[in-house]
Amino acid sequence: MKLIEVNNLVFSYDKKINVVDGVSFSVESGKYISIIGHNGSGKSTIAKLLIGLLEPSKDSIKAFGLDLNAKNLGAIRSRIGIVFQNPDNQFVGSTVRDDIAFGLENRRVPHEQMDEIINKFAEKVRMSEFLDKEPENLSGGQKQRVAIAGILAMNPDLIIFDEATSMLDPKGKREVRETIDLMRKENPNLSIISITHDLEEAFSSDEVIVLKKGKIVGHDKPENILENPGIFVESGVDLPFKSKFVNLLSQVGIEIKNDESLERIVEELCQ
Amino acid sequence: MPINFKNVFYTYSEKTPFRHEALKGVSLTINDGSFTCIVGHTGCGKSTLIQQLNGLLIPTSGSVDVNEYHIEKKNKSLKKLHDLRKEVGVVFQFSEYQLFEETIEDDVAFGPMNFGMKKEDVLKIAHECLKTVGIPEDYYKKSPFEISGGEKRRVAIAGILALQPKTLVLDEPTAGLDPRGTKYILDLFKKLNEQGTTIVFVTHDINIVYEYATDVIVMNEGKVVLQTVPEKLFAEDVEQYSLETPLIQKTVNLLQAKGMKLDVSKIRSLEDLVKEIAEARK
Ligand SMILES: Nc1ncnc2c1ncn2[C@@H]1O[C@H](COP(=O)(O)OP(=O)(O)OP(=O)(O)O)[C@@H](O)[C@H]1O
Ligand SMILES: Nc1ncnc2c1ncn2[C@@H]1O[C@H](COP(=O)(O)OP(=O)(O)OP(=O)(O)O)[C@@H](O)[C@H]1O
Ligand SMILES: [Mg+2]
Ligand SMILES: [Mg+2]
Repeated sequence: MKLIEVNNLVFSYDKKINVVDGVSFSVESGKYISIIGHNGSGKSTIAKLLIGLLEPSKDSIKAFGLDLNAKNLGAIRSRIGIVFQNPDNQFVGSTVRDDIAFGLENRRVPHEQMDEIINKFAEKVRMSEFLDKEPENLSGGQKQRVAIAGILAMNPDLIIFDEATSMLDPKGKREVRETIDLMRKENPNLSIISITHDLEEAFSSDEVIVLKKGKIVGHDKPENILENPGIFVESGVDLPFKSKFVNLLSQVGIEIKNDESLERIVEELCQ
Repeated sequence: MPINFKNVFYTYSEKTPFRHEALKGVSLTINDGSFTCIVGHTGCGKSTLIQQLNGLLIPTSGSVDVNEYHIEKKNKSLKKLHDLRKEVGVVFQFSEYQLFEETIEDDVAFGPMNFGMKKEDVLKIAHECLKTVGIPEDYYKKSPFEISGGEKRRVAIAGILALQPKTLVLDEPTAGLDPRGTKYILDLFKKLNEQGTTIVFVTHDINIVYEYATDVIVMNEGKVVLQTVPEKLFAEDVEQYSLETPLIQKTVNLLQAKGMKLDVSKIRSLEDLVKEIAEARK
């Protein structure tokens, strides 16, 4: 089933330049999709359009089978969670606990269940000790953890992460990914759209969308999308480490046949 | 002159229920002309530490020496801090809070203006710095709030470059930059470093430490647990400091385990590694 259908989406902030310029894609239920692209390519704008924070061109977005319009906005929003690029734009509560609780109240979670949910997700992002602190007085990575916990706790059907783990330490990043994978196991319909500059993350998702100047220049499974490396270079996005390594080797006359993993490449090099 | 921390403690919101001791007796030296990377887990005190470098935060106890400035609680003078901030430029972790003027060019020009330069000279510098960070001309009159996250980061960096500080302090400056921009900006810092600017660089990206750092400071729970050079750090098992192994180092380790002889002292980048592999296979 298609959770999201985007059809010829166009958007301009100044009514002159289309920063989103005829974008079409769909998100199948249960998929983890990464969006990559240069700074200013339109990623965050698309995210804001998907949750109706900006007004999309007419009939261009369908979510959960409903047209995204004023009438359906409430119903659609209640099923989508978004973690913004700057976590401070997310916080509403005066403590971490209130902040997570606020989202739950919005989703009409019964009060007697709240504490358990809050504790569970604070624990998952290792912020249990900080529940009574003010979100604005946390470190950068702690803010991102809280923002993520708040959205996961709401149990949405679709989560949009806009560079949500950009300031986490490597362990934190890994733990967030494990938490999401676990949630996807428990709920196979949970879908993820992750906007990221982390190519290793992008290449571990189900599909990668490459954006350049408001247009999609590539959309495929990670293993296929690398067949056309030109689009990465053109769109300000580098190649992942493994591909760069294989390319450089080839430039000095060493051709690698199997580049499935770093270990395989090393094996070939040492034959 | 090197930067010296002597037994620095820093406590946020003292005498309130939110009291939090973020630095717990930090002593360290940052050498003149070094490219010093500061690493450590989320919340270990990196941002708190670097804000002591230009007097934005003053140690609760202990002292910080930066060039000829001595920063200590009982000895804070606003005049001195103003001068210090011309020498030590800090790019914050969240660039939004660094932007405030109506247009991008005014924003970048603000710093040098504040330090007494003439408007026309300043605008010229501002434009140069914006060009350096990859912000196109048609952005100059735009509001710094109506641009993308990575563009904001670039403008914030330009604003500090415009001050031409002797010491450049960067708190995760590549978070939010696209990979090409990251490489470009890192090479720019490297060039400035080679021309004499001291770089203090907070990051979670261990690959950057591997390729660019001359010195590394590892923090843990408000303390410095290690101050060393990358060669020594990566010769050890870095996971004991909850750090990852850089991808190049990982590849080197795998190759060596399979018996390839590599001159590790020559490897700083992927290009170097490939060259050494070609050598070894001859
Ligand atoms: N509020 C705004 N008003 C006007 N223009 C904007 C606004 N926000 C973004 N833009 C412009 O729209 C384009 C797309 O911005 P967007 O934030 O979607 O990019 P992005 O792909 O998320 O980039 P980044 O990787 O830097 O976060 C950019 O050219 C940007 O300058
Ligand atoms: N304004 C503040 N008031 C109270 N506590 C604070 C404040 N700012 C930071 N802290 C706390 O001080 C500790 C150190 O924070 P700091 O921002 O220095 O960490 P960091 O190493 O930069 O982390 P990150 O990698 O997440 O950016 C954290 O536990 C944080 O919660
Ligand atoms: Mg963005
Ligand atoms: Mg920080």
